[in-house]
Amino acid sequence: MIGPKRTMHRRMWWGAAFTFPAILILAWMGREEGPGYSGETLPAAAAMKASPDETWMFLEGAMSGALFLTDGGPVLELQRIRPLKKPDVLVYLDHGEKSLLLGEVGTQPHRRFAVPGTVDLGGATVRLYSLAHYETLDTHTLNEETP
Amino acid sequence: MSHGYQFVGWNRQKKLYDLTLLGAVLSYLLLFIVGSIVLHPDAVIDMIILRALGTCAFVLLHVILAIGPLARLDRRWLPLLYNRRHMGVTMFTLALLHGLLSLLTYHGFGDTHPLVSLFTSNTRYDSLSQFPFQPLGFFALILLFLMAATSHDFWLATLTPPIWKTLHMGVYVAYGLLLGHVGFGFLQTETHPALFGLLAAGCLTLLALHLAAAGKETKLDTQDGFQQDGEGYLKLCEVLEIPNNRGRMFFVGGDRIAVFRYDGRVSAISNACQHQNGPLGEGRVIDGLVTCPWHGFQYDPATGASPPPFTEKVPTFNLKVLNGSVWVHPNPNPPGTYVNPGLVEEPGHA
Repeated sequence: MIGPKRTMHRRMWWGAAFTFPAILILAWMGREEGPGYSGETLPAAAAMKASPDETWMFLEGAMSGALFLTDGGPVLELQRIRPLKKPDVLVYLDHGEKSLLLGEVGTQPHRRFAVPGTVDLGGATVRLYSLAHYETLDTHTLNEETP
Repeated sequence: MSHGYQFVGWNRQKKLYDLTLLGAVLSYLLLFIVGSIVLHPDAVIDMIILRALGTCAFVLLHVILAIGPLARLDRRWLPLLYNRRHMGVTMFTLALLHGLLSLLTYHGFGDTHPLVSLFTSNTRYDSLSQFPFQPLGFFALILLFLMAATSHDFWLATLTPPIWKTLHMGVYVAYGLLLGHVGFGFLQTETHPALFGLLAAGCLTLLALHLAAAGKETKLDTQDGFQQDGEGYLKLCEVLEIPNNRGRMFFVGGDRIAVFRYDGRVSAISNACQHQNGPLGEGRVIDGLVTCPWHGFQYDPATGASPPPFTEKVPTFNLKVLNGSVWVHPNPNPPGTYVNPGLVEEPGHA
């Protein structure tokens, strides 16, 4: 008897009729929110606890970097100032003996990366790694006093 | 069918199906890669290949999920259903390559194990725009692997069709995960509205097709009010309402039965094919045998048994024809039980 299975199959699709559009709506809201990419405001701008004490340059001035402290934890912001010749760059945070992948910088002008609260930022190094060349392009070591 | 073991029972249609599939996949990948290099000369080739594989797998998944309801709504789509499992395995292979390349690209250059890095490099589960989309793809890949690994008829026979089908319904969960993977990943960085529109159109088309097919099926499964005689037989229809060498499906006793008219006779068997529970009532009678529209499994309509040397059997139903009407007893006989076909006087049939 496969009647119950057909019923289950139909119920799954009725469930999907609500679930799938909800996923689409949430994804659209993420695009609208755009905290990681718009660069105009921090995701929790109202909760910003400390302005960046310094802004540094990467790749001979092609990109700037800054570290913000928010209620949600530290956020690393990278802002492209001029187009990169090879735009696909991975961003790592080297701390102690560990290397943590924060994400990718593509063609978008701004990226923000949440830094896990467990990471000790004092003396950590932000490292840009080129996918095209398989080599580290640039690094910046954070202040020892960075919280 | 059940006789002997062959890894893949190749025939002309399967070869044609697979060659067309391979041609379509290679054409897509080639067009995507060449087009991307021409339009974005600065783009990294790894990224282009990664996206070509990912989008190809996702497009193919949409096609796979559309075939089922399309075939239910219009028989002309049935040929696509025939070898859908090969399409599924192809889709999984593309998705696996995309996953491996992504893992190597994004997580292979740190000192953390790539699989650990996959789950620890981004923990922003409270953010929509930075939501960790990669684990969604990982879990979808696990589900697709389970389905691809058990796609062979060996597993179908071992697990039995009901369990196998339940397992393979996981494809809907995988699709939901991939919707999130694409929506919270790729479409957060590629912000052109047309890309989001494509994703939404694909998803809504699938939903519309499945709900339309479900509506049609529900209509069939809510039939009731059949006239009953003193022996418990139900009057299902007039003989001439069943096209010659074809069947009609009825919902009786909590499940579907298929009633066939052929060679001046009428027989009733279970509607569910023993192979993948395909709808026998949508099949034809070819050379005196009911032929499943999905993969061509055949059954003698009077016994419900496959012709030797095959061994599949489906339940039969007692049936009688009175004054041109078909009466069927709703209690099934054990699979393979012979039942005297009802005899009919057909126009022009001696």
